[in-house]
Amino acid sequence: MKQRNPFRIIISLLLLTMLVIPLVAKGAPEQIVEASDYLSVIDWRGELITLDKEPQRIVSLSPNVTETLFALGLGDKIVGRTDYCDYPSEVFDIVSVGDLMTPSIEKIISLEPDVVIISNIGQKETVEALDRAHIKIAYFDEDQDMEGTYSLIEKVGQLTGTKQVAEQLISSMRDIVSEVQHSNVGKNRPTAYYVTGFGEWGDFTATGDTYLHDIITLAGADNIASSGSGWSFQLESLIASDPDVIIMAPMWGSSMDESIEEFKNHSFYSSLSAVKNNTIFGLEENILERQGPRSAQAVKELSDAITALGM
Amino acid sequence: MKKGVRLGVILPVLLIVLALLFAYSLVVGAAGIEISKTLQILFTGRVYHATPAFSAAQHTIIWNLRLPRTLMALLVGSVLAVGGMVYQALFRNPMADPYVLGISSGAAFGVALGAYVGFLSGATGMWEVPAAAFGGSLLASLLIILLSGGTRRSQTTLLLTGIALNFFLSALMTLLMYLNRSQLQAIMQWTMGSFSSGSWDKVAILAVVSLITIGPLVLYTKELDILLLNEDAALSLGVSVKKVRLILLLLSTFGISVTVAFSGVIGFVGLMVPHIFRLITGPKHKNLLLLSLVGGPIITLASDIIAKTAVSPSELPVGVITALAGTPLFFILLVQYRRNR
Repeated sequence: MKQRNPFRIIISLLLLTMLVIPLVAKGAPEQIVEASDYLSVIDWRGELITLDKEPQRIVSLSPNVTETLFALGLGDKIVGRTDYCDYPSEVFDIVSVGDLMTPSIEKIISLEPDVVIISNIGQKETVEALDRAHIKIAYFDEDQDMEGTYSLIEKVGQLTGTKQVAEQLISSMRDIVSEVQHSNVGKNRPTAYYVTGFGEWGDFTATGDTYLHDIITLAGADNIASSGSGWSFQLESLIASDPDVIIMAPMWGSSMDESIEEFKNHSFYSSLSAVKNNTIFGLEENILERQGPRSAQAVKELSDAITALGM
Repeated sequence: MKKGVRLGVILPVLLIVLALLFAYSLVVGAAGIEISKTLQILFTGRVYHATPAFSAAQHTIIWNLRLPRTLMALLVGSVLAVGGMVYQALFRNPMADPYVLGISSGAAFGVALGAYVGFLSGATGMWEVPAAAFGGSLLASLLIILLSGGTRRSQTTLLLTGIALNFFLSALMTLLMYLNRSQLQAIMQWTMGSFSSGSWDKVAILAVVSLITIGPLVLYTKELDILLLNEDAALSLGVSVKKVRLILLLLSTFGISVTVAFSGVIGFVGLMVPHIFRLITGPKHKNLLLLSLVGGPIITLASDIIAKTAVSPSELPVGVITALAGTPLFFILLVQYRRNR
């Protein structure tokens, strides 16, 4: 028998433990911690985040959080944003800390924020880096649907001491959505397809697992890609389903009109009814894709656009 | 190593497998058209005449989507496998694959550059992306051939130049994508390979290109055998080494550049397929050429079927599947290879 090296065993055991630790540590994001609803919230990690006083210096690392903070009347408390935070226009007076994937941790620290807020549009690595720097950070990863949007607004409201404003905002958003749904009662639900990529780049759309799928559904249409996942959808499914309406997101490097024109002229899509009947239209993607205070408006605009086509 | 299986046995088996995969690829798809209907549509021909038997959309799906897509997978598989075979002989290196001369990184760089300068956008038509990719890959490969002194120097110089420039171009492509993040996802997706944009125009071009690049090889199988030995042996046997090498190099490089332009980077086919048959039937290029010609499409068609069905109605990138299935197979081969030494 071979002589066993005790060091080798110890090292193997150590390695094994290292493998197991992250599994155990990340096992349960939902801890049972009681949070009051003023300046305190439990974020997605199960972490209780409490502020001593109303935050005066907030850094937002996600465009939808920035929009939410403005809607809650906290725009003047934001001291840092990302390059992608572009609404409302006042944000451009605020310093940017970089892009969504790799914001500058140093820059964030130098802004001395009372709290940093990030949604699922941001990166988990950023959260860890800020944790290590002892910066207070709340990470919200809500469900990919309208209820998730409400929940995000509510939690940001709780954390920043603006719960009442948040509740008013949510209730007015709910009113808009239910109004849309009332107006659609008794109407035929048209089938719809949302284009985020096409042609040579492959066919990509808001599949059933995306937030946009919920927006399309609430707007009174049936998303033909509901059974797809991960934004990918087979061309032949699109041709076979032949949707009543096609909603276009502007493609990168092209304007909305160019995107629609190119789609219509492409030989793959020319046989679609929506192309022939010209029931294809574009909507600004930021309002559609961001889970934020404008989401109810997005549902309404989408519903109006579909109605305007006579559907 | 002994020559295990005879060509007369394995080739018919492979042809049957290929025919079955071809038929299955036409029948299977997210649109769920019944087999009987699919056959009916196939037999009516390419032009649709209104009929209650099937819809215009179903006719389009079979004739304009599935058939060209399947044919494209078939042609790309052949060119990649044969290209790999030629490269491995030219470089006398079992690790040489069709992308070693910067073809894939050149293509990806071409696409990234095209997007960066605004030649490409998310809404460009059918030809701009392949044009950018083809330009990039051809430029990169020619640059490598020139930089390394072409075929005058040793194959090792050529191989090393290729590897170095590959890294350089990949880094350059990453930099361009980093500078313009909005394009990142589309370009990444593109590089992972897909047959989903297959069309009749592309099939026609690929068919001509395959003929031009694979056809002449029939005349050169003996030279390829001799090249594998060494250059001195080749010279003494009267093979004009430099001329043959240059012709074969240019032909294969051109063929592979066209496939990359149309279908993105589909890895491991060109590396794997020739090796598999070298193990099974031995290193004679007369056999290898035939077997690669049939074996390549088997891998690409099977991979495309998986790409279409695994997450239907969504789709996986083909390049991911060939690499996922290819790596374990390759390890098995390596172990086998060592054992036989």
